[in-house]
Amino acid sequence: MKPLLEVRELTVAYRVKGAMKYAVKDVSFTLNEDEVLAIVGESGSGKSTIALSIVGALPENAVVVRGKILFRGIDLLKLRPSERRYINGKEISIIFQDPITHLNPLRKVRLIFKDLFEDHGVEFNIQGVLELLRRLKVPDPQRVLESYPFQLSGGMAQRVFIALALVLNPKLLIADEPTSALDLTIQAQVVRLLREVRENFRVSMIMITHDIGVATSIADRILVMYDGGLVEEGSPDDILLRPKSRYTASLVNSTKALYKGVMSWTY
Amino acid sequence: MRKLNSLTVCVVLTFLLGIVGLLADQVAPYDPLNTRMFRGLQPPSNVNLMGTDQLGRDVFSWVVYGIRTSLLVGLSSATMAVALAVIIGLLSGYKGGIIGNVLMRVADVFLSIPRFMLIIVTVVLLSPRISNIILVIAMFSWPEAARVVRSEVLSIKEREYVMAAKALGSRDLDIMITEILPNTTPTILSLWTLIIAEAILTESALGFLGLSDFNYPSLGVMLMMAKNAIFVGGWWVLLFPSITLVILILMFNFLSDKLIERLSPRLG
Amino acid sequence: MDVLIEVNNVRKVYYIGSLLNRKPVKAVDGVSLKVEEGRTHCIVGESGSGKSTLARIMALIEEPTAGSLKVFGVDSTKYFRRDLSNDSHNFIRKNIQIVFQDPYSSLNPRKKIRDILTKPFKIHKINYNEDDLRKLLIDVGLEPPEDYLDKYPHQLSGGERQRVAIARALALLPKVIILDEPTAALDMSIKAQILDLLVKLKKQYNLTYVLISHEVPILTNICDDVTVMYYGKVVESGDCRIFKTPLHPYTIGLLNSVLIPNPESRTRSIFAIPGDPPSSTSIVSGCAFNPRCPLSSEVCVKYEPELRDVGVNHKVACHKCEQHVIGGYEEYRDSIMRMWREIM
Repeated sequence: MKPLLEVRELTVAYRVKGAMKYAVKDVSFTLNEDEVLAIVGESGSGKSTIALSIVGALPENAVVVRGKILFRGIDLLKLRPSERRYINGKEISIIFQDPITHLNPLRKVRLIFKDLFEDHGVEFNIQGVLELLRRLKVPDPQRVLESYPFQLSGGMAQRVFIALALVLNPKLLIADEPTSALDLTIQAQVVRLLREVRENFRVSMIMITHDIGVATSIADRILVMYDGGLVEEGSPDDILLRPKSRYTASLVNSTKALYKGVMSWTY
Repeated sequence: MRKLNSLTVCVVLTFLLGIVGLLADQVAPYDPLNTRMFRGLQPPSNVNLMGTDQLGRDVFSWVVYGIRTSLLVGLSSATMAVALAVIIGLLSGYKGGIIGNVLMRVADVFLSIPRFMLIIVTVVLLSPRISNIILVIAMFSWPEAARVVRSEVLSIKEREYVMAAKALGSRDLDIMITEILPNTTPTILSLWTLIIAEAILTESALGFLGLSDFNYPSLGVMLMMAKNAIFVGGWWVLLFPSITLVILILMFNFLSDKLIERLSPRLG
Repeated sequence: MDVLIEVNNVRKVYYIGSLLNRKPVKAVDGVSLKVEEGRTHCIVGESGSGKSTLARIMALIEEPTAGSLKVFGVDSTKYFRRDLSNDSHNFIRKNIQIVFQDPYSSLNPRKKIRDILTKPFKIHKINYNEDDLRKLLIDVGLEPPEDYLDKYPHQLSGGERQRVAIARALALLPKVIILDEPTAALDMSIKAQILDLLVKLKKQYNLTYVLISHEVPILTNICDDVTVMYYGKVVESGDCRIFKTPLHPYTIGLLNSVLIPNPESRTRSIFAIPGDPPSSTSIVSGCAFNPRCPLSSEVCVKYEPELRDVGVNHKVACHKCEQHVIGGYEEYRDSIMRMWREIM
């Protein structure tokens, strides 16, 4: 079976004050259909840069030095902006950490959906949207559609954001630090929701996070990044119990030390 | 050779203009106030680089002294206005309370009446002496700046390093001067240059209306002459003072933008 | 053991909105707790629980709207009105310090590290020398100190900045240090390092900590006493054993929401307390947690529960929990989780 996404030797640098700062160094990995991949790393490891490269949302001072990102065989890096637009939102979508800042505060939720449909030349299917919101456990979807983003609570906004990402049935959903800086209970809600999404919708996911607990709760495979390089790859068990690289081992050990007090809970 | 960036160019040009103003006595070939030194309305020539106006004044000398007047008025009034604005903005922003509110309401009153009208009326009531002009411009420029400083202060005072200073036991005055003020420096500098630009424009406008100090040649006065001069073909009376004025104002506006851009601290 | 800070029914109300449309926000709504010398008192809560406001009140940076706060036996109103001798006032000020969450904004970006660290000495007119500064930096793990003294905050990493913030709080050797989410903004491995540092400093200098955080796993390693807050009120408090046997449904739900990084987590079902916390301006009747609570009944909607003793050093504010703990603790906890899962 051909992989859904193939990243080959991706190398991305940022132009900072005339010098080139390498954020991603020669990273290669594949993602199969129906798979959830977690990219784990600390700040500065380059994990977000990878996500942005896939959706073509790199900042102006970023330079893709080398590499290919093959999505169903097409090299995303070689696409023209117009061709990119066809893919973004429809085949590949992305959700970020803070939903409210990524939604236009002046537009009702229903219209935000409508805009999305129109941008991709698809007829606006409001029943489909309502059904989707229901499946994502949004209470009273009608009211939510008529609200403005700022009127929604954090958890609700995140669900709307996920709905926007899923409504056009993408093949790949990227979640860029969806749980960072969130309260514990909301983190749990979001990860739980993403798991349900994975089970109920046939979509592959890439989850970018610095939290190993989040990664092991949802991923089939974990990639560990450090300082722009891919340090290790494996199943959650491999990473937790049999880390091969020194960095991964130390990361797992600090996490174990931090979670020492709660490790014994099994409920 | 160091890369030529826009800020450097700007600063250098402004500096040059400053030198011209400072050394006006040396730079200007003739006494600008001397009417009938030459024949009226002579186009630019070897004798008069920028021609003469209807009264026979050398336009070039006038422009040189005009730069000096503009810079003098601009710098003095802006410095006074900003100093006042900083004190009022800091106090009302940090301490707040009744005094803060009262001060802001006073500022609001100033801001709600058309500034230029007020300035004209005040200058007419007092006499159009250079010191009055500077004071009046300063008086009517501080309110807006104070509002800007105050809102900066309001947002800075919620920052954690200010709270940390409080927790250490710093006194209010100390906090205002050592914690808050340094962080408003980019805004203050930017405001200062902006007010300079505004003041230069105002001063020229006053000159245009005939409300300038006769001992201090104003670019506006030459524009007033140009009003009539162009009807008889004296384009040079309009062109040179206008370009000079535009350059002066543009320079300071540009400086204002660049200063805020360059000086804002990188917060990581 | 001495009670260093005593909080009694403290309330703090803010007003938001314009002049004609002011809405009250009850950030802290009747909180009582005691901080004992030599112990680490953890305050657990999520956003909207009022924990940061409480931190600022305890650090004497803000005054409570109602209720009383006693620090070192002295009423805080006396401190704020300067109704004390200079010595007493300074003593109090020096001995309660605070470390904030965000290492990016808790240091003045325009000051060198050296100036940031000498500030406490200068304010209290205490003599210091270069060695004192060096020792401080070494104490917090920034070696060699010379590498840091003349740098600006933006030249340091998040973890390093946080160490500087700790050094600043430590400079005058206070009795109490209040830490408001000290590790929330840091990477995993740095979190562990900072926690180790805090433990080490506590032993070294006989400190008392008030540690405020929503990161439950971290607290379980370091706390002696715990206060759990929800929507401005205390729902459960006691010593650290309540992490093993929590009684209040919110605490139980919170602890079970932790995403544990172990091999079972992939297949284990994830639990999340359903619903959202009330918004800061909504008016809640009865127990604030009742819309999300599996034990909720009529009395919960009508009446606010009081904080009551339920055991040795264990208090809970709940109408219903005791009634359900009949067949033993484990069964109680399991039944709560079961009830929740049925709703989900």
